[in-house]
Amino acid sequence: MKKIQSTCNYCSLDCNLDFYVEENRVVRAVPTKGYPVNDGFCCIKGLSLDKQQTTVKPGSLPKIRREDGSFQTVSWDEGFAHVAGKLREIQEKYGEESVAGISTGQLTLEEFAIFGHVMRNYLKANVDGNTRLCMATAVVAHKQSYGFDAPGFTLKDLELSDTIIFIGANPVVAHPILWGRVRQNQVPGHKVIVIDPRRSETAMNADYWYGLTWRSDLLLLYTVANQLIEKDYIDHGFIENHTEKFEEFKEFVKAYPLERGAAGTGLSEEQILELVELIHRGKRVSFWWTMGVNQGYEAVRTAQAIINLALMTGNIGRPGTGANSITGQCNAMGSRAYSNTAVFFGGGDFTNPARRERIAGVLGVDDAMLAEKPTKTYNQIIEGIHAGEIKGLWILCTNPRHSWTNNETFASAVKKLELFVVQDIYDSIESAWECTVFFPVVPGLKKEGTYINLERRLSAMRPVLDRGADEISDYEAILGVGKALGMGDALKGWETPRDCFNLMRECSRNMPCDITGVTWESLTDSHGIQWPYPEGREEENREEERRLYGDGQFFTPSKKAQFVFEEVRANPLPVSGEFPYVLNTGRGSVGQWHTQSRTKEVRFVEDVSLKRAYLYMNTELAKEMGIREMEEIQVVSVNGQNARFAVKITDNVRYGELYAPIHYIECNKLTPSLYDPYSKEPSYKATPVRVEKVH
Amino acid sequence: MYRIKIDRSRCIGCLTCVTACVVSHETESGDARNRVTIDSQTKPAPIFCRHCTRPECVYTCMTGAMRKNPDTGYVEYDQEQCAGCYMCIMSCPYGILKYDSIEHKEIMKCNMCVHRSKDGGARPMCVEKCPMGAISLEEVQE
Repeated sequence: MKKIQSTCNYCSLDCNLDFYVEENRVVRAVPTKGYPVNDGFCCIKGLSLDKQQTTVKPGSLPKIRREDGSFQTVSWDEGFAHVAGKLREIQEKYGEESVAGISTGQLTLEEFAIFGHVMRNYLKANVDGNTRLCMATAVVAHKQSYGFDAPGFTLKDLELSDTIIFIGANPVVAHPILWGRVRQNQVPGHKVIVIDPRRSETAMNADYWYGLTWRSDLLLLYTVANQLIEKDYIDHGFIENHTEKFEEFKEFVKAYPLERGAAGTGLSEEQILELVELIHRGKRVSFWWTMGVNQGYEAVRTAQAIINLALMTGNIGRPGTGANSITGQCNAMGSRAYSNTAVFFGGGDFTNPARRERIAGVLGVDDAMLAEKPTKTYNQIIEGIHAGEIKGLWILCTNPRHSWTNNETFASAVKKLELFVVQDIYDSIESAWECTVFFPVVPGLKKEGTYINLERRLSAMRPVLDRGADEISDYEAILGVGKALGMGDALKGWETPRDCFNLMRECSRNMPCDITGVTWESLTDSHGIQWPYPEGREEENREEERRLYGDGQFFTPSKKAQFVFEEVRANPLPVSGEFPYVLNTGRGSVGQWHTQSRTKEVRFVEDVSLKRAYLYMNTELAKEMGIREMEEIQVVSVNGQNARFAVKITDNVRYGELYAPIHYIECNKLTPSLYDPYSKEPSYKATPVRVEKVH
Repeated sequence: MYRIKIDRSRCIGCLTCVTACVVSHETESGDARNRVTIDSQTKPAPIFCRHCTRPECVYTCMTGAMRKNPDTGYVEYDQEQCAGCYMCIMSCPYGILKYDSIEHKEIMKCNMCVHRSKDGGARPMCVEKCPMGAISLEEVQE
């Protein structure tokens, strides 16, 4: 029996598991003992990774749609030639930017990189990722506040903190292993605090729950900041030595007195003061946020308002502290740093001459081949298709027909494409309904590559199972198209994922995310390695759970963190007489993966999952409307769409708020085309709707 | 004896108990000895071995592989004695017993994780790991 350690490629924790294999079949999956992230435990998704492609298995060869709508199976060489030819043809006819890609946060670092090289460098096309739907807000917040997209914490901080504050985060359901670290916290008298409009599963387990009105989080955070300043509960030394623009911030938050905060958030003044005291009394206060913050129309400023609280109280860089962004997908960080979409491989602007020279040198190509500007964003790509500017789209490992906000706009867009390549492990995903080409690729158990988790930890994906005839990886599919495009020497050094990893290491040299000390071999069967890990400084970075900013040095030119703030905006989509309720969305269960694409084969999960879309409604509202448990209702959205849901009645959502799990396609049929102005992340969480009884 | 007590009102169907069961028995097989389903009202319904006072699985076992331990009260399973007739599976009133998914020879039977304790007492990992406090150990008189 073979034992292979590899990385779970579901959520951002990147748990490691030991897979025991006999006759090319996983007979046991055992969470890796001693691995710093998950030390011998995991969630049901990771434990069931081997169930993928056991009952549903697409063919292993590409399919091209014929004129009559049927598919023709072709060889890989024919598939590559077809896609390359069409990409070229469309670019020649409509211009370079008439083709685009939508990538993901779930592939390997090397697959993002080669996709970014072929599409962004060679073809000068736009490529965005579904990380735009997830982490873009945190990325922009980090860059503006810290000078680099560098979340500083380690998961160990959850065990060391005496005051753990979750804001718009529900780790009991979304990140169970992270919640496990909270449960391991042995600090006497430690407090867990949840700020969330919904009494989430995490709120049920917290010491304090602040159930504020939807989208009033920024108002609350500024009010709290003002109180901390008024009471002089701030760390003057840290502010003086390590931050900038505090005085302006201090003046700014004077416009957020307690009364205003209470009136706007629905919390009492006493509750807000209680929260202020909790922050003040904590010696090691840590703030943790995720999609409840990231997916809003003023999300970047909200994330920065959290960062501001940590900075002004000196709760950053020390054990058990930090303003900490919990990522969504397994390789969101790998995508952010190595996809060549918003910044160069390893970071740095596309206009930075020194970075251009360095990247061109490492890749062995002419400067002119490198991408020249950040990609158009996800929404601009969809809008570009609608406008007839983009005619070719290649999506991989993502399911936007389901997950894109206002998802009917994706459905109508792809009908206008001349080339629509869908690359996935399942041809049954909703996004493949209208594809013109389908590239079937192998799941993670048959791949190799590198993942980076939410605490900057690189970990190894290594092949657990052998591949069958004609089975190829995402990496090889992208490389195949690159070769068919005639890239020639521009693909020298990109032959294998390991070669690509070595290129990326060099691209990272002397950047904040320097990984030049990490080798492919050292990652195999390891405990993972956090960046930074520069070559020659391995010994000083030997500790397995490291954090940044312990020296108070940030990545801005002045080395000081920035207070960034902006007036609270009026809600662009307020509730009204016509749409009196608010639809909130989020994860509904631990077992179901986002759009269910990868967990439908898991019997454990299917046994406990509803087969139709549902939402939660407040008990009082259901009573007023005469709605019974599991009754079907129609929800009409401000975006002009409507969908039907079964109703689950609960006291855990507010009277005027509905909560729909994201795992059903109906959910994002109703969400709006509204984005944060800086991150362009969709505002998924607060859509005005009305409810109609179905007769 | 101790039994696993279930508070269904707290269960969220997160399957942490199922994961814990597999992890606890990691050296034996990759199958769980418990499961969670949903009832007709779509509420999660965890199903665990009850270690019954009058265990049908023991009564129908031809070989003595299933036996009620008179000291602990737990229903124990000995694969060495098992003939693989599956009578226990068919007779379990809770439908919790099943055979292993690879060889189909071993009955997946809760042992209260006695292998995890030094004194042979109950130490079920599912109870330890449940994030909602939906399952607990309860002392009962038989």
